[in-house]
Amino acid sequence: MSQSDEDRATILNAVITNTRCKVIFGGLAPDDAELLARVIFPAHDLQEWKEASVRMTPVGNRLVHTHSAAHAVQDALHEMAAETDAIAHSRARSVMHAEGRATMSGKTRARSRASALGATDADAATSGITTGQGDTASLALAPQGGILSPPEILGQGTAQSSTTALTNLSTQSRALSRVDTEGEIEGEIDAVSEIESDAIAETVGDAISKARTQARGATHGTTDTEGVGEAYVTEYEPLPMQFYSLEEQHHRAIAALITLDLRECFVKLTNTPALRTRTVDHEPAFRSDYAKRVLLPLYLQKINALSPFVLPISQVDAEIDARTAEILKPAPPPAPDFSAQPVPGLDDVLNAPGNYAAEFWKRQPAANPRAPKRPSREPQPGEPALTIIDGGRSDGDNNA
Amino acid sequence: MNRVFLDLARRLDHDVGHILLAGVSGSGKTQGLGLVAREKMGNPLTGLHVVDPDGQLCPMCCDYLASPRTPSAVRARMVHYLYPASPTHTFALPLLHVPERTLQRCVEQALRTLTIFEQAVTVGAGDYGPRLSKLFFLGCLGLAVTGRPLIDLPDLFTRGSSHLRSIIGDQLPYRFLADEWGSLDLLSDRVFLEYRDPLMSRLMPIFGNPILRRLFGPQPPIDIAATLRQRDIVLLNLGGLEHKDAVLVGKAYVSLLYHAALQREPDIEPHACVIIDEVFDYVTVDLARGFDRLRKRNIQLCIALQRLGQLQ
Repeated sequence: MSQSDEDRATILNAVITNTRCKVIFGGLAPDDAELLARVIFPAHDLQEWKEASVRMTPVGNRLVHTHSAAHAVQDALHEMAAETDAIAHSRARSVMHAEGRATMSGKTRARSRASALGATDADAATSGITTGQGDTASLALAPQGGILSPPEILGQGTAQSSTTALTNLSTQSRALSRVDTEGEIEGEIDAVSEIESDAIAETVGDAISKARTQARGATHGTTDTEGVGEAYVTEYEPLPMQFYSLEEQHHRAIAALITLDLRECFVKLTNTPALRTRTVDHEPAFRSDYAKRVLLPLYLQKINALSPFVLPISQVDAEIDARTAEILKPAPPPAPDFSAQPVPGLDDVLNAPGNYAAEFWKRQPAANPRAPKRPSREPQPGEPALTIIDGGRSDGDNNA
Repeated sequence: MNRVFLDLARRLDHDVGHILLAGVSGSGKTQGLGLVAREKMGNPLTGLHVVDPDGQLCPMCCDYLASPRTPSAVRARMVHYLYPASPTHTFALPLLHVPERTLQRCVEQALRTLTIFEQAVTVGAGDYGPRLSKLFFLGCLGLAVTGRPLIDLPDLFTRGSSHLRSIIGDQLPYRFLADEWGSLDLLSDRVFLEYRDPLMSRLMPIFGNPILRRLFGPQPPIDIAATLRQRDIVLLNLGGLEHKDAVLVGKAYVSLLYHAALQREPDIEPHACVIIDEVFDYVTVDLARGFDRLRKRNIQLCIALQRLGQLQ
C-alpha cells in the first residue's frame, strides 16, 4: 500500500468517528482497549462507591430489651449448743384465821393464799456454721428481628457460688418470777367447841436449775431470679468509604473490555449507554448434512443462472482466448500507396529552381557522406607481408 | 442475554449509522456479522453487499438463503454470488468498462484502476518512480477510450509501444496526453523495454493468475450501481484466494462500490448495507471517505476488525 501516515490517521479517525454503533468483543490489545474504552464509555460515574472500601460504620443506636434469669440453690447446716443456769428464790407467807362454835359437827373449810417472788438469770451461747452453694446462669437477648430469625444474644454468663459462714451467738436472759399459791382445806368436825385461832405461816424456798440446749438444723434454699432491662446498642452497617476516581473508572472499563468472555460484547449505540450482551446462537440452516448437500448446490445453481453478472468459466475463458489471439495477431503490412503524386507546376520549377531543389532533397533520404574507399594495392615482390599504414600523413593532420 | 443481541440486530437499521465490530479472532465477530446479515437479508427494502475474505460469512448467508426454513420472500431475492475461486463460475470487475465512453469517464476509470493497483503492487515506487505509474495510466486510458478491457494491457505492452500506439491511435484529444504518448514513441525498443519490464514484472503475478485474469476480462462486469439500486444481495467470497490476490480483489470491489455509491442521490436512494469482515485488508482512503459520505447516500457500512492498530 502506498498510503501515507496522514491517510492512515484519517482512516482511523473516520472509522472511530462515523461508526455510531460499536460492538466490542473481548481480547483486545491494551492500546486498542484503552482507545475504545474512551469511546464507548464517554462518561464515567464518579459517584460510584468502591466495593473494596466497605467498612463497618456506626450508623446509630438501637433500644434493646435484655432479659436475665438466675437460678441459685443454697444449702446451710446450723448447729447450736446452749447452757442455762437458773436460780429461783421463793418466799411465801400465809395468814390463817379460824373461828369456831360449839357444835361439834361441822365442816371445816380453810383457805390459804400464798405468793412468792423470784428472779431468774440465764446466759446462753450459740455457735454455728453455715455453708451455701449455688449455680447462676444469665442470658441477655435482643428483641427478635423477624419471625424466623432467632433473637440476637447480647450476653451470656454462668456462675457458681459457694458460701461458708461461721456464727457465734451469746445471749443473756434475766427473768423475774412470781409464784402465787392458794390453798383450801375442807374438813368435817364433829365436836362442839368454840375455837378461835390465828395462824401465820411463812415459806421460803430456793430453786436452782440447769439446762443444756443443743440444736441442729439444715437449710435448703432455691432462688430464681428473672429480670428485664433496657439498653442502647450501637448499630453498624457495611458502608463504602471511597468513590472511584476517573482514572480508576477508566481502568475498570479497559479491564472489562479485555476480559470479556467468548462471544460476549459491549454494544454502544449512538446515545445510549454501553450494553453488555452476547451473540445469539445460530440455528443451523439445515437440519441434516444430507439436506445441505442436496439443496445448497441447487440454490447456487439457481442464483448463478439468474445473475447476469456471473458467467461460466468456460465461456469467459473462450472469450479471453479469442481476444488474446486477435491482439497478438501480427499487424498487416501497410498497403502500398498507389495514389498519384502531386506534380509541381512547370512554372514553379522554372521560376524558383532553388526552392524546388530544396523541397526535392527534403523528400529524399539523407545522403550518406561516406568517405571514398581507398583503393587497395597488391603487395609487390620483395616487400614484407605486413602492410604499412602511412597514418594519414597526406591528410595534413599530422603536419607540425 | 441472547435475546438482547437479537433485538439489537433488528435495531441496527440505517438510522444507527455505520457499525464497527472489534475483537480478536474467535471472539464472535463473524457470528455477529452473520446476525446482522440475516436481518438485512430478511428486510426486502435493504440491499446487502458482503465482502468475506475468509470464506465464512458468505457460506453462512448461502446456507440461510438456501434453507427451506427461510421465508420464501427472502429466498426469492436476487443474489449475486461472486466467488473468484469457484471452479465453475466467475465474474468481472468493472475496472475499465465505460458504457458512456466520454473522455471524462475514461480518465476517471483509468485513474481509479491505477489507484486500485497501486494499493496492491508498488507501481509507483522504486527507482523508476512515477514513470511506471504514467505508463500504467496511459495504457489504461488508451484501453478505456478504445473500449477494451484491462486484460488487454499486458499483451499490448508486450507488443511494444508502436503496437500499443497503433491500437489506441490518435484517440487522445488532449495535446498534453498526446505529447505524453509522443514521448513514448520517441523511445527505442530497448528503452521501452526498460520501462515496460519492471511494470510487467509487477503485474505478472496478477495477470498471470487465471482467476484474476477472468476478473479483468471482457465479459459484462458486475453493475454495482444497479445492484444498489435494485436492493440486490451481493456476496463476494474471497476464500480460496491467495492473500495478496484477495486483497486486490477486495480493495477493487470496495473502491468501486464507494465510487458507485457516490453517484447516488442523497437521501432518496434505496438503503443498502455493506458488510466487510476483516476490514483491515481493505481499508483505503476511499473507504475512509466512505464513512464520511456514504451514510447520507443511504449506504450503511458494517465492518469488523481485530486491532485498531491495523487502521493506523
